Amino acid sequence: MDKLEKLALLGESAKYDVCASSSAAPKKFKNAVIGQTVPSGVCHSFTPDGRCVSLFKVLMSNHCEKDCLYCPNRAGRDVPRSSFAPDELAELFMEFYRRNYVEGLFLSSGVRHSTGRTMQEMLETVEILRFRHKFGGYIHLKILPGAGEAETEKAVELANRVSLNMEAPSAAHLARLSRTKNFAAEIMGGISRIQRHILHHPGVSHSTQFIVGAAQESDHEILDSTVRLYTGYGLKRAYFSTFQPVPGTPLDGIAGAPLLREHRLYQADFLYRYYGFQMEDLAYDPTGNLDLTIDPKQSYALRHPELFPMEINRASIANLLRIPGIGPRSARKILLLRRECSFRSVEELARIGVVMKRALPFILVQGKQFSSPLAPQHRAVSRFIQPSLWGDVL
Amino acid sequence: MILCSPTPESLLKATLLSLLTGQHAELRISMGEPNLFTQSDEMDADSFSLPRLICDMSSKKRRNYDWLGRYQGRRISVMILFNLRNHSRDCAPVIFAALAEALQYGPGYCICGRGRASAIFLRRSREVGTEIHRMMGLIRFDETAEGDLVARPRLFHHTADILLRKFQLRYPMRRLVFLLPDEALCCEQGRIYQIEMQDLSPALLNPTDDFAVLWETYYRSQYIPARKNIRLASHFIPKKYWDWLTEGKILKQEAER
Repeated sequence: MDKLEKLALLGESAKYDVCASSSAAPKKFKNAVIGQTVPSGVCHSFTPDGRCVSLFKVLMSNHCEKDCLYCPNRAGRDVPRSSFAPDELAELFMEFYRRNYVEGLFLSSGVRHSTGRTMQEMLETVEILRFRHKFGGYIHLKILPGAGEAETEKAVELANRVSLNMEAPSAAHLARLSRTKNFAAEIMGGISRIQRHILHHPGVSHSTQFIVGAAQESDHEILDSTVRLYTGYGLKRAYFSTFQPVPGTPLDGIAGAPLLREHRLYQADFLYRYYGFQMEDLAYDPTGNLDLTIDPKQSYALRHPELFPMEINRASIANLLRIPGIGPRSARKILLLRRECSFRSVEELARIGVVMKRALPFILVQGKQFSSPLAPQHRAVSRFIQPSLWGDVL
Repeated sequence: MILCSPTPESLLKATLLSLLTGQHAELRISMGEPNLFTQSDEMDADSFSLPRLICDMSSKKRRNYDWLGRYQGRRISVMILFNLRNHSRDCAPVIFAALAEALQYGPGYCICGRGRASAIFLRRSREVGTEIHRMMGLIRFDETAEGDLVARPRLFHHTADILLRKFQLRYPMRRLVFLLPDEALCCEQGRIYQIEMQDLSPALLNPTDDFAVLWETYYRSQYIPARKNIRLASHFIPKKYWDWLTEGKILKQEAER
């Protein structure tokens, strides 16, 4: 298989892994000859699905011994298989980076022969980049489930970000997706190891990814699990990837989860991380899922009429962040400007970036209300029903 | 009349002088010899000291302008610089008006774009900032046999030198060349210089690098058709860039499909 074919195959095999972030603390490697990391991150392109291409996202190998039901690289699936040699992959990546097609490397792999051996090959690739090419740019390295202490330590030392995919919120859910992955030992044990090593390497962060809608899990369960990781394991970021059936896998023929569900999970996640919301502030339907027809922040505002409308010239930052249409940046601007002089009109708010369409029913400007918080117009969005893949309930 | 140079400090001095003396401030077009139209009562903002002007302003208005030397002052300086790099022809009046608003109502008023002039000032500054950030990702280099990295950027504002300085941090050992419509701009070891197009070597003008095929293969491999969302893609890569980028034709095909 030539370089072009390998690139097409191993690039496509990695496309379901979610991570476009390339922001990192600058100068982790001080003697770099090429490459730098920037705090803001840079996008180098966008695919027709609107997803950012910032990292050279590729698998070391798409050979895999694991049998995850949703995975395009699962053992036994009849697809062409190939692998990169560490030298070859490092060289190819440098070609992309030198020409400014990518901001960094995102390296993952299927488990070929054994987890230890595959991790060694991935680490060797990163070592070639760091020490032979003296690459100082961004590297995101996947930790494979079951990777040992030494491999995790080395990965944290070399990369800007490491991640171990959790895939499902609990052992029972994961058991539905894979018979060969051990939730407690391989997933949670691995995340604990990452957390321990990251403490000694400031500037390195770790993330994880959930498959949404493949294991009969609810949004509530996913978000609870995410918060546990943020608070107990120092997780920087959780990614959500809607389950899309892949031909030739056991879940082929099952309808994929709606993309809107992934969007709502990200909204809820952002409310928790940047808006000071707690999980109890979110409303779930009887099945434990978020309402697809309305965004979680607006839903909160409509369920708390005692808080709204809120006077923009007196509200605290915590309260400003509860108003739909006002984000952390707008809230900080409002606070800054209020010190100089109070707001007199909604136009002034619009100029500083408040989304008036959403905010107007929930605010007062100098005691004046401009719109009433009407019940949201429920759009004709069909309610998502979790497919019952196994005919039972967890 | 007060004349100033196209630098943030000079523009700030001119605004302060204008508020102190009531005279009209204007950007100096060129530093030529005096001619028939040169007025004898022109004041050169560059010949004044900024701390002295701030001090005079503080005593006249009885307000504290210490923020000019702190974070907010530096932030406004960057915004002035970006406004000067904006393609708009009327950058100076907008900068003077926005600075006057900042000095009258406070720095936040200008930084957050609350007033009318400040809103335009902020928008133009953002346009330039967006172009710089976007181009850091979208500009692709070809590599010549000598190891120079050559690109043909598509710029709508005067940002080429800022971009070259940023790229130099990423590729410190390389000579970077931007082929602009009427000149070539080079950056080598932190030094930026121009080269006339006729002086460029053929290797720089026509770098024989066919890497685009690899990129196109990789780009296609990352696309998930089930998630197709051209509207979102074209929000991030506006259509004006489609004929310039290798992947633009793929975006176009998908948009038409």
